[in-house]
Amino acid sequence: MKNVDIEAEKKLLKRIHKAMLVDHTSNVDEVMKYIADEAVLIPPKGHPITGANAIRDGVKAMIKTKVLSMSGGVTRLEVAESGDLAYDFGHFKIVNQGPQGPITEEGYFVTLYKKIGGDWKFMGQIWNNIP
Amino acid sequence: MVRRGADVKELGLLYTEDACVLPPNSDIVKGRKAVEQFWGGAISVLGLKDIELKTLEVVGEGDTVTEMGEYKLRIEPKGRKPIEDRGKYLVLWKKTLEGWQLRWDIWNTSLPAQ
Repeated sequence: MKNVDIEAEKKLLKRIHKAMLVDHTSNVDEVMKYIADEAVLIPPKGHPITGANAIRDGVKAMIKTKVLSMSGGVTRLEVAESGDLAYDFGHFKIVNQGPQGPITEEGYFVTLYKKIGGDWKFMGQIWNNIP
Repeated sequence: MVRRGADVKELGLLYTEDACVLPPNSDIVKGRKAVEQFWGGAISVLGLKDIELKTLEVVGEGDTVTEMGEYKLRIEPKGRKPIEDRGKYLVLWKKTLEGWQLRWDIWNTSLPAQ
């Protein structure tokens, strides 16, 4: 078994999570450097968005959206004993400026990270909505 | 894999003691007992009749793997027309002393908003 410093890996992952939040950056490339080529986003009411190129388009659209408020965060973050797989879940509430006024979306997410070439990469995220 | 017609106890044994289920339109369901109650309610109150799962991808090795896939489910609410839903799921499997069990379970619909 590898000797993995789980707490150190968690610190790295928390930093990545924060850097990827679209209300913290307007730089698409900054977000994309953490995303694996084969990453997948699994949104509700739609098909999976597969691959970094498709995700890049989504990130561009998200960055253009005016975020009025964003709250929530990671509830639990775990790193597998292998040291190359990590996953978190949490709650989010985001209010975006829509064409006819604020649009609120709230729910839970699960995110998957994999260590590729020594760096943590975002492999995928699924989320759903709560009323 | 659980057999068709399994009771909620059997369903519960698919999950770890500390499992978390994150269903849409619901609070987080924490722990095997609560998971049993959740699926019990889905069957007896909502009228959940059948779920088909199709694995699309498995990531990880060792004692933890994640599985992504698609589901189709059929609900037959009392006195109302049957409902079919299809969507995507992601589960986290953990190897425990009881074998491979589900630690986290989340899904969302692929159907457009009504």
